[in-house]
Amino acid sequence: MIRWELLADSLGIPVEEPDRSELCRTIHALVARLEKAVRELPSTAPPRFVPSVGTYEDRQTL
Amino acid sequence: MTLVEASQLVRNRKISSVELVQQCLSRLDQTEPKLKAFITVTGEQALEQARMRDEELARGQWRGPLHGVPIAVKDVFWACGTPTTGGSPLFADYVPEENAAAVEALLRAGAVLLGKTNLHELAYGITSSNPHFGTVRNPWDLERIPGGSSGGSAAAVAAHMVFAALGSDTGGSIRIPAAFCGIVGLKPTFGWVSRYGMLPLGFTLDHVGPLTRSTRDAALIMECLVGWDPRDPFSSPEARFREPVDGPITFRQLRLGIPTNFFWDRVEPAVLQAVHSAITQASQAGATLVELEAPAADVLVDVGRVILLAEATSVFEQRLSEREKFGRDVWLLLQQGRLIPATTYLQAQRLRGQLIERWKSLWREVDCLITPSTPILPARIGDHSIRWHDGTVEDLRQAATRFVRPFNVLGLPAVSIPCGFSPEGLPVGLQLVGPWGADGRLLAIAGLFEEALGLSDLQPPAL
Repeated sequence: MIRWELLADSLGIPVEEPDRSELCRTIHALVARLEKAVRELPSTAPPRFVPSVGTYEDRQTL
Repeated sequence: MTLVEASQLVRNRKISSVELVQQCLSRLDQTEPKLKAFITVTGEQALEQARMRDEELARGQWRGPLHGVPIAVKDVFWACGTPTTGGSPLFADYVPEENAAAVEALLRAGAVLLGKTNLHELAYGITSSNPHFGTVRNPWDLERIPGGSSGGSAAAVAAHMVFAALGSDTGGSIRIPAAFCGIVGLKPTFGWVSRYGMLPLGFTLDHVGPLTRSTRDAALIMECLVGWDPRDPFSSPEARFREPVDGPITFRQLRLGIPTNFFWDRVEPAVLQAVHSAITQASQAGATLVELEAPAADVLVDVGRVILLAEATSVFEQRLSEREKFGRDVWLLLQQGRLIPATTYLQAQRLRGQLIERWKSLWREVDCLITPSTPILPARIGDHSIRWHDGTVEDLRQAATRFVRPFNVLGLPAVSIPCGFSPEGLPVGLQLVGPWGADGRLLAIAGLFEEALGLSDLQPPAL
């Protein structure tokens, strides 16, 4: 579990209270919801390549 | 007068381009002091361009459907020789030496550039209350926000200062201001319009699109904009703008998807009423309503937020030491982005890919999906949150982007059109979403609603 305040300190994020606590709360909630969504993905199937955006041909130009 | 009408009048030499530009500049003189819609007005250059367009027409040379028509572009697009600030002091002195691809496409079709529009700083927010270039105001109520980030573009079009404007949309930045200002705003299919020469924000979420006063105007602009451009790494070789070829669409042919989840939670009553009324009218005109679940719509919002936080910070991180050059809200968002772990960003992109696959099957059942564009009416300038009737408080940015952000993640075309007004006379937007690449058909469907509701080329009474 990430300690957001410690991470913010270690990154030298120069935001003062109360914005700092609000910022950490927001990110904590957002990341927790995303991790929950990832946990709900089928986990027994092996990972596979999935398109992120666009078509196969699109990505060939990257 | 719409863009289509102006274009025809110029082509038939019923009005000159110079006259059109003079009318727009006169309107601008009258309304701009109240609205702060522009960062740079290029009046003299526009008149010179207009004179050239008139001379070309006199010689029988017609450049294309925008010949001689005044337009504006959000100040994130390069326009050769004109400052492109991004609404930020970071780029206050930046004068590009070439045009953005989208600007070039409009000029090639004959457009006359009247200026660069104001926006939420760095296109990263929804109020367009810009601490550096002024607070853009809503033409329907000067005490309210126009939405953002393309707020200046929307206000300029709604106030009839120009016939169309370009916007960018990373999490709703075309559709939110279109909804709040009573105009049409299209976020095209991802990869359909080149972003070359546009200031990036979220490089896998950014889209370029038109803001206009009618759906036909939006289609006209799209005909000029859509196409593959190898200078934008996400531009698609499949990009084509096709209007329906099998005759006019009617409501009787259409299956309209009505989501049963997510898009009706915490919505202001006036918005609900206007959207329901539009859906009822479509149904009475013969459309088939299909209730369905919008797959993982709530997850899409979180996916979009994670991706945007990380990408925007990666774009601007090198400038974060220049604290005095950032407004407070944008500064905090950019600092938040520094906290997103790399694995979380990549998980968000993986989830995105899976959700894009899941959404593909939806289009076997319906022709388009209908939602409110935003759950809220235009907020008062200075408000940062909204209190719902159940007592919960929601951040204004998150409320405004809730229904639009999912379609930046999915890359699907989505358009906001006016569908009614609140009792106090504020516009309400209806969002129509279509399958990948069906931008032309989506605008044709939106045109059916526009015609049925009689809501195009609106004139704000306050001006």
